[in-house]
Amino acid sequence: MAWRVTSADVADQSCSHRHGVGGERGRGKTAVVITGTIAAMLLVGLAAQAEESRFAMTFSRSQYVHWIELYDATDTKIDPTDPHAPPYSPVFTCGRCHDYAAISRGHHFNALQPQAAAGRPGEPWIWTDTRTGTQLPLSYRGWPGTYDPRALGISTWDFLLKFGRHMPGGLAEAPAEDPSLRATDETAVETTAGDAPVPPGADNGRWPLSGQLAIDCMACHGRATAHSPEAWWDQISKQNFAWAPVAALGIADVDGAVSNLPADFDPAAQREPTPPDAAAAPDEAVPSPDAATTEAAENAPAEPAEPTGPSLPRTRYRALQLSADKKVFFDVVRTPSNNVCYYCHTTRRADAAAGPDWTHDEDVHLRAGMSCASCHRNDLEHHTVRGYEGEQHPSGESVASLSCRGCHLDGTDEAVTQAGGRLGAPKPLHRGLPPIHLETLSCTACHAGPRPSPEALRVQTSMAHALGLPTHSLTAETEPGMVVPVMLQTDGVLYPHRMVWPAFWGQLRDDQLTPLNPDAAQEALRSTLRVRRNATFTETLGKVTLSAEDKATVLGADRASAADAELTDEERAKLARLATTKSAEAFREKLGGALEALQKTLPSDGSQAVYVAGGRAYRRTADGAVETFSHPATQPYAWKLGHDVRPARWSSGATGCYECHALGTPIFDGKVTAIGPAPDPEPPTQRMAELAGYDRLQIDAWNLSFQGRSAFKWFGFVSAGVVGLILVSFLFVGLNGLFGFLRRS
Amino acid sequence: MLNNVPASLANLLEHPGKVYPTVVAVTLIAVVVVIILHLILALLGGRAPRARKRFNWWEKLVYLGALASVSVLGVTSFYTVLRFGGMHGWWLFAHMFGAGALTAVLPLAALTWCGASRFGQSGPQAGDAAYVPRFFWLPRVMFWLFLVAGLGVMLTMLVSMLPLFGTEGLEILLDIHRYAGLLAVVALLIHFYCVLLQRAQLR
Repeated sequence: MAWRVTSADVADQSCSHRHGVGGERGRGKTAVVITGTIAAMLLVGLAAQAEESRFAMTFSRSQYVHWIELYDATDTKIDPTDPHAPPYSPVFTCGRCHDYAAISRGHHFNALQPQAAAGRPGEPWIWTDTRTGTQLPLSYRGWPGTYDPRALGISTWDFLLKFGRHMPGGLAEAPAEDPSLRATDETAVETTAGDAPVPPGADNGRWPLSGQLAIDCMACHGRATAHSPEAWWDQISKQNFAWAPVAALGIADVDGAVSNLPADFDPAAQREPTPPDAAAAPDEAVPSPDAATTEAAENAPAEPAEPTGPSLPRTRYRALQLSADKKVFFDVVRTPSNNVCYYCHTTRRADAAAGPDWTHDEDVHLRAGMSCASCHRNDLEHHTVRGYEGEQHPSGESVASLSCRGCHLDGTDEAVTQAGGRLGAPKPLHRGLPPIHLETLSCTACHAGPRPSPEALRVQTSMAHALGLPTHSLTAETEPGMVVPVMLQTDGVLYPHRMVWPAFWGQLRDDQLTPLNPDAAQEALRSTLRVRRNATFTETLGKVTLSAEDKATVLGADRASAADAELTDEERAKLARLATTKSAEAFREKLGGALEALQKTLPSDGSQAVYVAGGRAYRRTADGAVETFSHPATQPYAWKLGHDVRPARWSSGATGCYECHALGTPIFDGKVTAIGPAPDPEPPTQRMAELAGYDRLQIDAWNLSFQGRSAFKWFGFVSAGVVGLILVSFLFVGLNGLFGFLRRS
Repeated sequence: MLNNVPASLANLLEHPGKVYPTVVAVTLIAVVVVIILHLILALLGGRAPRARKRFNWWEKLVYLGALASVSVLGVTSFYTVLRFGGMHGWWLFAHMFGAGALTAVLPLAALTWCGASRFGQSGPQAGDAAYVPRFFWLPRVMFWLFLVAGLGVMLTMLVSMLPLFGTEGLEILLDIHRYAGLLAVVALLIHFYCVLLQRAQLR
């Protein structure tokens, strides 16, 4: 409006001037116009400046010391000494100075945002239920081979309660100006599930009680060991989402659990406890202005009275470093330590030959003094660089030199060529390695993960096997079964992968095999499978006891009665094979009943109940038997691995060509055997070369040709020597003739 | 067009591997055109034919061996370079076996034909005005060129098999191998044309 008035006035003034109508009135008007214009420009400038300064920045490489006020989920300042203080909310505490909305779209926080760029397929969330034999790769990112939880009726609520242990928060919400909007079930669904909302009621209406699971900034930015993922998961398990950050940071104790509240609990009707007698204690205990900090313990109020009846969890802040104006010291680090990355990104070998964990080294880059964040870096938007070749960073910045090749050689992308050698990365020599290897092999193929072995190795990851949380039951066989390294090609380049085989109960209709909701399947099969709480599906359905008759069949009548200690290894192996075979038979027999029970829950539109596990699909035939069949849905899901990078001397091929180019080498002939909850005496097995799509004959012919390589080198140099001698001798003859001709001339 | 020549030359020198397919195509076409033009001139020209000594069975065998191995190497490399941009799979495998054959044939060819391809006269023929050399000047030049280029082709690959050079060194060796190979093919092609020309008594 101001601009319009000013323009009109300027036009008017201009017109007056042209017509010679001036005088005091005209000058006064001019002054008003100019003043108004300047004022308007100043206002716009100030507004812009105010917008820019909404979020604080230091623009320094030094670490800012965080003395901050705490705010709750209603954006109300918290007095940590108040016995009724609510849990702090990272949205309004950290978000006061940092752009929470921008951060929430970052790579670690957009896993549930379908509109986020999918990027290169990575590790899925694997829904594992040992009581139903389920291991289902899930992802909202649409990676081929994974299933969208929304399509399976898995609500955001269920997803968080299943996988919240290894989530940084912020996944199931979007910040809203009005906090009350965020406390509704519909909002959570709308902001996370995009165009396929979770059916109303799927989350039991608990969101208003649990609060939102906000991004826990301190999970990564807290001083190395300050944050407890175990406490985080404990609160999530109790449905205390809003209390998880404060408990995990260890600045408060949280009593109570939303999960214990009755379904009809109304927080508004919660009976408040009688105010404590020492309600004025905080004021009395306010430290003198001279004191920079004090301990909250010194001004701790009297213990509040317990609320009567059901109530929301209660937060009791512990002794904090507290300033006079109730600011709390948060020990924040700008760059997350490797320790926090490891919580979600640990991988451990679980095969028999792995040896204890202490015998394994970390990634060579870490041993060289780098940290995860040296390469996997990000700006405030938290689009963490994944570090693969061809990565398009959402910021538009080139990250070409943050991949292996880009850093150690030179990075190129569509826009620029970036010189390698960042952080002093050495340029590899690759002496004697024909350059074609750099075209057909990724860096990781030779340098990352375990070396290829005759049989792909079992491996466990944090996200799939809940590593990082204390357990007494993790064994090498703990599901989901995952193997590494599996060599697969992408665009003619070989990469090492981790691989997992889906296992689920599903329905087959019109040749489309789709998984059923895992909880619904469990409900339908509970009475048929009868898997006890601490038992597994595999144990229960495949349980067999070998009779004396069985043993006699395999070992002969004389040895059948021998004690186990007296058996030879060969005899034990025979018994183990028999046990596996009989286990598979028992499994199929019980599977038939389960499929029959499941069939009754399916619509009568031609859908057939099926079970998928270990690379096979099972279904009932017309006569009630169980048969296996192949289907694309049984195919494994594989994703590329980047770590741990081994030292150069431990890379594949470091000892010479024959490490790969000989008959039967692991990189081509390593066996990859399907793993699943279903007992299978002959599980589907493939060779690496077949999985990678190589021509078997060509690979064998090529590798066979290397057998005479050393002899060929000798022969070649002798041959070249002969040719060289002839050339040199005739050169001398020619020169002699030339000089003779010159002499004669 | 001429303004672009220095730039093209600089590009060739800076990225010899990248422009190799273009160089191959241009060179092969140029050689074929030159041979055809020369053949027309030879047919039209009235140069008196000279009776030259025919190949014996050993010479034929070695010559055919050289032709066969170089043909395999030339086809497998030029076709794949022009068609796919590089050698992979069975083509590379065949190329490798062609290389093995050339390694055996090249010293034999050198021993067999070096005397007949030398310039000037020596021994009993020295000073004999009636002496007719086995080859006229062009095949003799091409023979020595073929030997030099063939030796370059062999050595570059043999040295690459040793753990001496890193990636950059190996790429330089590969570029030398490529261009030496092209030179060897062209030399032998022209040599073969000249032999046919002599056989037809056009020289």
